[in-house]
Amino acid sequence: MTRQRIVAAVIVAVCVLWILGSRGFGSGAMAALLPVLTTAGVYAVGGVGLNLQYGHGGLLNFGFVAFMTVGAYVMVLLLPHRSGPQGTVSEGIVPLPLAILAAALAAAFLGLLCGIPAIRLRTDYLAIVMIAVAEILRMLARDLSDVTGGVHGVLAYSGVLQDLRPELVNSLAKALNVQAFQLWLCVVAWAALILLTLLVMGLMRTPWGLLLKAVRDDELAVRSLGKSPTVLKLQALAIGGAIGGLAGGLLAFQLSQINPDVFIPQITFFIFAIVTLGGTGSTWGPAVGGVVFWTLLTESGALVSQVLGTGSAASAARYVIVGLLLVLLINFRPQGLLGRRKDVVLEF
Amino acid sequence: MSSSSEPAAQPDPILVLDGLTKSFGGLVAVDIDHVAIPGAGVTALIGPNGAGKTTAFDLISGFVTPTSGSVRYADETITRWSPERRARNGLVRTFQLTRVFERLTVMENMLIGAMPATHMRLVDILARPGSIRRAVRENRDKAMELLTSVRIEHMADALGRELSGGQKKLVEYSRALMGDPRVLLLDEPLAGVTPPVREEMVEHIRAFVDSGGVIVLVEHDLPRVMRVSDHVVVLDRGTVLAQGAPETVTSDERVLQAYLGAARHG
Repeated sequence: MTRQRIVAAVIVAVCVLWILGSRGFGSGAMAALLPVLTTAGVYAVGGVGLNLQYGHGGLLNFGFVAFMTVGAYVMVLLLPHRSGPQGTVSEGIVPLPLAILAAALAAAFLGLLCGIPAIRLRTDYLAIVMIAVAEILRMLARDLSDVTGGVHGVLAYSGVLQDLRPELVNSLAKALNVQAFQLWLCVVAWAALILLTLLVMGLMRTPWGLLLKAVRDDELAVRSLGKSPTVLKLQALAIGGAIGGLAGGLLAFQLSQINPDVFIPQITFFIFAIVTLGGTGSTWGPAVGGVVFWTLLTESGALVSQVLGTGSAASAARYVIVGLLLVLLINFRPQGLLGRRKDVVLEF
Repeated sequence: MSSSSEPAAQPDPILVLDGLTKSFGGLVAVDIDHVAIPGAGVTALIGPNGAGKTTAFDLISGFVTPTSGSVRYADETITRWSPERRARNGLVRTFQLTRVFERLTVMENMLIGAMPATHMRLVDILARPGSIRRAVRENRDKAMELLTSVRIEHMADALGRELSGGQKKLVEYSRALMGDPRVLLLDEPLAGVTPPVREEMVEHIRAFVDSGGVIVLVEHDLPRVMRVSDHVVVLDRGTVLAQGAPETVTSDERVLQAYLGAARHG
């Protein structure tokens, strides 16, 4: 286990050095590293939510992006923003902490809403229900243009977060020669990631967490011992959903403007890839997986374009590379970087 | 469908099945007119393959809903109770193919059986973490005692999937005991285990009954059943052929014909 952690730490360090090195460790290197780390952090937060649902609870959810859609839109629409083709200005309705809370609650509610009809069905049905829900929400965001700004989306809401930027971050950004707002985003994303990871870790150490793992293994046995799996699965769906909502909020801040086409199904599968890379059912897997995944996706593109030259072939090739790596991973190391092999393979 | 007369000294029944039927499509799997399971000792549900033993078990434990009829347990009609509600009220079952949580350790398996459902709820974990921690500690001690009594305490930290078939049987059995059941429903507890483990199981079954518990078990090996049970219910093609003391039932002409005949040729 310890060896596994050391290997994971080394791989993360290699990723960071790779990004820095590809810019020659020069003055622009830190500036190149920050967005990758931020993206990794934001997606890893989503990974923490999905890992609770899928890794610990065995709930197959192919529409995880739905929670992020709801979280992102609820949050930005409650904050001061501009939206629509004319950039109509809207006043903020609640302060930032309340908007974040509302985003999490709305996403949790979505989890319950989808879970109640679907949870009694087999897991693969839940997966299909969720993939449909995610697409429906994206279409709704496009069509309800009076509320969501339609295809033009929502923008200019990030001010409230940047207003909270402490002076320390400003001076640190100056010292590192990076943009202060970028550094602040990265700090916020990783603070949220660490906090939520610890929260889920704590939850999984309680009898509630134990029962959730038991439900993943064998629902009938759980019922034969006097415990109902239904409520538990709904709770896992709601809590994982709330975390997904927060990830959506973070993504909105990172992009500084959102529109329906941000929340495509691909995001769900990025997050699945991150959870798998890091180790399904492991504590810090999503964080590690996030860094490795986004380093591969950004840097392999640069690597390919050195060979193939820039162009669409090169940018498509990076997905091929990442996909190939994932196939190899599933084959030779299904437990990812931090998971337990016994948790994911059927036989020894 | 007559049944042999009950011995006079039987304690009040704890489980009563009345007019209980279950059909799957056009097939009637179980059609039990009346069965009373005494509130003490070991009751065996026997019969040839396909006699409806497991379906009857599923009906008693609530994993299958009956087409008609009623199940009464300790003077309450529980026909519509969920399996988990039955288990919480002391009616706990095991499975023919053991269902040990494979990715949990043996100790964790035991804790799932032990912790009251109320102590595993999210609200309680958030509202009173102290008392939950205490409950976990106490249940750990209790689990260790039980594991020691079935002599697998050295496996406490092994994962469920790392156990042998016999060990799984023992874990499932002691896990069921963790919740202090009143009635233990054992689905073929003696099948598929080595002779020494079988002997141990018989001892455990006797010990549980001697301490005041009730055991209902499914078996199809007649000699084994005769050794452990105080009361026998014979099923054949879903209906009750006979019920009563082992000696009475085994001397019943129809039982010998249907059961032993079928066993010899089947």
